[in-house]
Order: sequence, then C-alpha cells, then structure tokens
Amino acid sequence: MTDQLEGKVEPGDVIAGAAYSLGSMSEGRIMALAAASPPNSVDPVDIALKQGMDRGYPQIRVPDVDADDFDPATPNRRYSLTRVRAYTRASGAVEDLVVMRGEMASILEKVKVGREHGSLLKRKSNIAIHRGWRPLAVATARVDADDKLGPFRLQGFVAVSSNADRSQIDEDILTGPATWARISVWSPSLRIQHWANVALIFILSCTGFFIMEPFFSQPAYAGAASGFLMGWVRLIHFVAAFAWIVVAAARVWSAFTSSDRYLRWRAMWPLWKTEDLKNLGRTVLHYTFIRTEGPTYLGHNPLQQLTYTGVYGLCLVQMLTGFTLFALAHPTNAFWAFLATPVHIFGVPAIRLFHTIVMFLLWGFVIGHVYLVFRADTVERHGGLSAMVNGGVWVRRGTRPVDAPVIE
Amino acid sequence: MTYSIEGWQEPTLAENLERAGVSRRDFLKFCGGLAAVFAAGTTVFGPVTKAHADDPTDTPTAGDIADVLGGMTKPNVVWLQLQECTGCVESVLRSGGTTVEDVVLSLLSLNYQEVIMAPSGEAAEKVLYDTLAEDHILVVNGSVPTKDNGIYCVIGGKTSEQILKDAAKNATHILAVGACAVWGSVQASHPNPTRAVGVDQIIKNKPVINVAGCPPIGEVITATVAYILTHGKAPKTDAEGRPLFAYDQRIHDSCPRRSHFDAGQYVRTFDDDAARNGWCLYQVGCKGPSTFAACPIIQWNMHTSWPVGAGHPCIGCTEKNFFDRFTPFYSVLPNVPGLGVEATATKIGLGLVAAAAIGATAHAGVTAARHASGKEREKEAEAMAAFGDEEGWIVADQADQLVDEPVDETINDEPGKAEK
Repeated sequence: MTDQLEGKVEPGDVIAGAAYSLGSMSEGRIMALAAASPPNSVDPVDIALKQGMDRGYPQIRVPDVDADDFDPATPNRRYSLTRVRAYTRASGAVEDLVVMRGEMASILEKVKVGREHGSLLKRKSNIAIHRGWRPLAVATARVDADDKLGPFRLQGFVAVSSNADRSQIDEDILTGPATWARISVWSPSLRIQHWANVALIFILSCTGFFIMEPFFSQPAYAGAASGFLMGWVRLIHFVAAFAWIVVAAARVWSAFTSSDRYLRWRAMWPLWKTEDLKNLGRTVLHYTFIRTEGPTYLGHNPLQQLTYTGVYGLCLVQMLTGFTLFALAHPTNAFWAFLATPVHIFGVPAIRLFHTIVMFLLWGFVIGHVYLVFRADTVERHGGLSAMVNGGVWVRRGTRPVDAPVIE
Repeated sequence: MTYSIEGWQEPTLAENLERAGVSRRDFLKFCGGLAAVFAAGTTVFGPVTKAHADDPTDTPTAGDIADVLGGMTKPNVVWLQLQECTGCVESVLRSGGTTVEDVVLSLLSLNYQEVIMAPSGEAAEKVLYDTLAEDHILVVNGSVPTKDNGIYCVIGGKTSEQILKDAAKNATHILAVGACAVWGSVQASHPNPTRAVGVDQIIKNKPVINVAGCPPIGEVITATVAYILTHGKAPKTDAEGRPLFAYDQRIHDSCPRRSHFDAGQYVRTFDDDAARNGWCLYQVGCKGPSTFAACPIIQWNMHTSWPVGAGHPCIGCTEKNFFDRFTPFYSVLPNVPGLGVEATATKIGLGLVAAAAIGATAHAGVTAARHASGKEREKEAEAMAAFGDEEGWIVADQADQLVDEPVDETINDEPGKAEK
C-alpha cells in the first residue's frame, strides 16, 4: 500500500489504534485482514497494522499474502485490493476473500452501506477524526469457486495515525500560522458580576412575579399556622434587590476606575467614530442575513454593546422604581421620602407597572441573549459561551478585529 | 348622645359646647383624641401649641388642647361648596349620631355653609362677603371648572373660580377638603369635559392644605381645622399638601388584614371562602399598598366600619388622579394605555417574551438554513483544516463531493509502483 497519510513518514511514525466493527466480523479479524500484506512490504501503514496485531491480537494470525495478490492504492484510487487465499472464517468455512482497504470516502463510493450502519459509521469515524486518527476502512468480498468476485461489504475500520502528525496538531494549535489563538478578554470581576446578575435577576424575577401575581397560596385550616409566605417572598426580593444594587455600584465603580478598557465607560458607547456607526449598520445587516460577513470584534460588536448599555439602563430604571416602591413604607424618613418622589408624578400603580414591564423586557432580553450566545458560539466558533466562565475567546491567527490589533 | 346645636351664642367655644350639652369630660376625650391624631408626645410633627413652639419635647396634653380650643372666641370660617356632590359634608354630618366633632365643626363653620346655614339668597351672599372682608379660615369643597370661562359652576351669578379667588383674598388658611377640591376628582378625570381643577391650581400665592379623600374622614377634617385653631399655623404636609398627621402611612401598613397579606392568603373572587374568612384583598385589586390615609385606624361612622373592613378593596381615593391612575379598581396593576382594554401588563409581558422566543427560533432557523445551503461550507472546511484535518478525511455526508478532488500532492508514488 502506498502511504495515503503522509508522503514522507518513516516506518514507525505510523501507529494503528483500535478497530471498529459494523457487527458481522470481530475487530481482531478486521484488523488482521487490514494487516494482510506481502511480507516484504515496507509501507509504514502495513508495518503499523502488523505491529498493532502483535500488540492487540497476538492470538490471531495475519494471513500470508503473495506480492502478486496485492494491488496497492494509487492517487486515483485511494484503496488497496488484497486477495487472501484459503481464509478460515470464524464459522470454520474456508474461502478466498478480496479485502478492500483505504480511505473511508473512497470506499464508501464502492460499497453500499445501510442507513443504520452508515450513521453509526459516520459518528464513530468522525469521533476518531476529531481525536486525530484517520479511519482506514475495511471491506471484504467473497470469491466463489468459479473465481467470481461477489459484492463488497463494509466490515468496519481501523484507526490509524501518524505519530508525527499527532504532535504536529498540538503544535499547530499553539503556534501554527493558520490556526487559533486564545485571547483573554473578560476580566474576573466582570465575569463574577455577570453571573451574580444572572442569579439575582432570576431570584428577583421569581419573587417579583409572585408579588405581582400571588398565584398560589396555602389554604389555612382551623388551628393551622398560616405561615409567612408573602413575607418571606418579599424579604428575599428586598435582600436580593440590595445585593443587586451592590453589584450595580461595583459595575459603575469599575466603569470609571478600571484599567481594563472593555469595562470602561467609554466602551459602553460605541458611537465615537463614524466607523463605529458603519460597523453598527454592518452588524445589523449581518444579523438580518443581508450581509454574509459582519465586522469582527474581539469584545462586543456595536449592536451588542448598545444592547447591553440599554440593559444597564433598564436595570437602572428597575432599581429606581424598586427603591420608590420600597420607600413607601418609610414616608417620614427624608431619604426615603426623596426616593419616593416619582410617586407624586406618576402615581404608585404606574410605578408598579413600569417595574413589571421592565421585568418582562429583561426576560425578553435574556431569551435573545442566550440564543445569540449559543448561535455565535456555533457559527463563529469563538468559544463565547465559555468565555463568560474562563474569560478567553478563541480567534483565528491573522484575524484583524476592529477593536484589537491583528492576532498573531 | 344628642346635642343641641344652637349657633355661637356664648363668648368661647367651651361655653358654647356646654350650652349644646357637651360635658367637660366628653370634650376632654375629644381633645385627647386630637392629641393622639396630632401625635402629641412625640417629636414627629413638631410642638403642638403656640405656647410650646420653642420646645418640641415639652408636648401638650389633652388638657392643654382643651384649654386652647375651649378658650377660642368665635373664629371666622367660610365653607365653600363648588363643583361637588356634598358627600364630604355628608361624611361629617351623617355619621350615625351627633358627635363632639360635629358640634365643634358646626359651631366653627357657621358663618357660611350652604348645607347647614339658615340664611339663603341675598342674605346668604351678604353673610359670605361680610365674612370675606375680615380674616377667616377658608374651607373649600369641590373643584373649579375652567373651561368656557368657568360657566359650568355658577353660584349667585358668579363663577366658582371668581368666588374662590374672592374668598382666598383675606383667608389666613385655606383647606381643600375632598378629592374634588384637591385635584378635581371624577369630573377632572379623563376626558375632563369641564376642565375642572383643584384649589391649588387656582390659588397659587398661598399654601393650600389638601385634606384628600372621596370623601375624607370627618374626624380628619375636624382635626385639621382644630389643628389650625390650636396651633395658629398649618400642619406639616407631605409633597401633595396632605397633613402628615393623617396621611403619613399607607392603608396597607396598618390594615387589619395585613397579616393575611404576609401569610400569602388572598381573596381570589368576592364569593370564595377566602372572602368569607376576611383574607387580604390585594389580588382583587386593593390599592391599600399604594394609598396614604388613616382609614384603617379612624374608620367611618363612629368607628363602625370602612371599605376594606366591609370586604371591598381600597380604591385609593386619597391619591391624586385615582380615577385615571388606580383603575381598573379590581386589578393588581393598571392596564397598559394605547393597547386596548384587555391589555394587562402580564399579557403584554408574556406576549413579549413569547415574541422574543419565536424571534430567536426563527433566526436560528434561518441561520441553520443558510449553513445547510453551503454558503458557509468553505469557512467550515477551513476550520477543520486548522485542527489538522484534511478534506479527504471528512466522511460520509461529504463523500460524494470528494470524488473529483485533486489528489493530495503528498502522494508521490506512481500508480501501481509502490512495492516494485
């Protein structure tokens, strides 16, 4: 067999891994038939497969093959054909077989595989590929007494890999010119704030919805304690609200004091240059499927950033209206009386209505946000979802983001 | 108790009260009540009497108030009734019996009070304008219509706006009693066909004390008048001009049903077990949490009952614009204007959330379709190459595309020569 994997590999650079069977032949036999090659072969794959047999299946004998019975793969036909004479099947039957061995795609051209086996095969071989192996497909056909070749049947594959290749993969990812680089973008403080916001908004929404619409309650039977359900719900709401205000205060503080430019006040307004506005338009067109490519940003794109700035605004409204409603319980205190001022302009029910509507707007944002995060992570493959956990995004080397120097 | 009110015939209030049959003991009880209402003994509302003005901690007792109030000579009080329903006067007078409050109020306000005064016609007008020429306390019921030069409320040939301005000229204190006088009430609600406004919209050069409510509690009206008489100054008010001694707390915060609110026990419909058990009316629209008033404490008709006590949710009648802002009365939240009568916040909010979800799903669908159509295929393959995978090894799905691919250049061997 010619080397289909690498042109310049030396013997020993290739290794054979596990075999995978579609069910009608054992893994050991599939690997043995794959390893069947002339004894003098110096092809690294042949050697690797024989070594793999010695290592994995020493009890199975690799059939002997004459050089004349071996038709190696060519660049135009990416599989080899081997005639194995007088092969003893597991059933005890002795027959001649022709083994087709080679690149999966080429063999699938020649061999019919049912849908059930096909999807299994696809999944298994893709797993192997992603782990840095390549599936060496193995198909067999029976030769009958009249020397006529029957139909080929796919038996499975043997995972093979180049040692050199494997180390190269790691090196490519870390240093290669056409690969990916991990850039640390989001500071720990921002990530902590993000997840604190998630938790607190969740708690505040649940308790707040209940305060708006106490849709369940316990019936009180004679003599039974009536509990303190709404009292607890409101207490949790208020405690979470004050915690949320602390988070907000920390965010405001960092907007003006942080050395991280992604946190700064200025970053919240991507409207400083005409280029920003143009990129905002391009991003909108990209998200509405009118432009194929949107501008690349390491951090937030202008549309995204303006949305987040808007959400900060919504949160501010939520905190102020919340404070106003909370202040109603303490009208004689000058501080709370001041915070209750909007009541005299809008009336209490309107403040409650604003507070509710902002909650629903935040829910709508959460749906869009989660969807777009998953979408971006799937389509752009930058790891944006995990970035909010570990802080780093993945960027192709050579990328020129709008908001950062070229990634080298 | 029956008292006979015969008008102001003795020099001082105490003597007049005695003549009407009010015993010293009852009068002291009344003054004790006032002291409690004014929060005497605390420093919340400041010193109570003129004599104690400099020392907020030395607060007067019921006896002090009785001395000051009882020693009053006849004050001039003018009580105007403009665009209103007389419900506020009824609230004071028809309380289930004649109380000391009634007697005090009747005695104090006798100069001009359309419902209870004896004169009528020219004689009544003469009394009014004679009194207005002197210093007086002005109490106003009812709103002032301003549209079409105020012709929608004309008394004795003068528009209510003119009467109010005349009456305010020499007034030492102005009390707007009732929602109409405070902000216009039902006639000032949308669409306000007579463009009715409250007293403080007309009289801007003098402070107006707003005794809010529709109607206000009779005791609160009396207490406000008594406060001015005993203190010689207006009580402290909140941002809407309401005396803090009566409007400093929400109904919710002193409601006898509050424990049911905290326990999460709510009336769902007016005929359920919860309603019969007297549970909280929050979910059938009680505006107690939004309304500042002393209703749960003072109540109506000699402490007989009050709306929430009778099983009806508070409608927030002491708050400005409550007909516009607090409706629908039987819902927790107001409707969202401009989106139809059925547009509650919950419906709109959940609709918005659903729209966001549908939008995200649709966007995801288009994204997936774009991907499948192969527009991004190239990018995809490149990504795989970045991880060290060559196209030839992408299997199954794409196998058909690979047949005509040029052969990998790394395969140098000529066909069939590998082993030779």
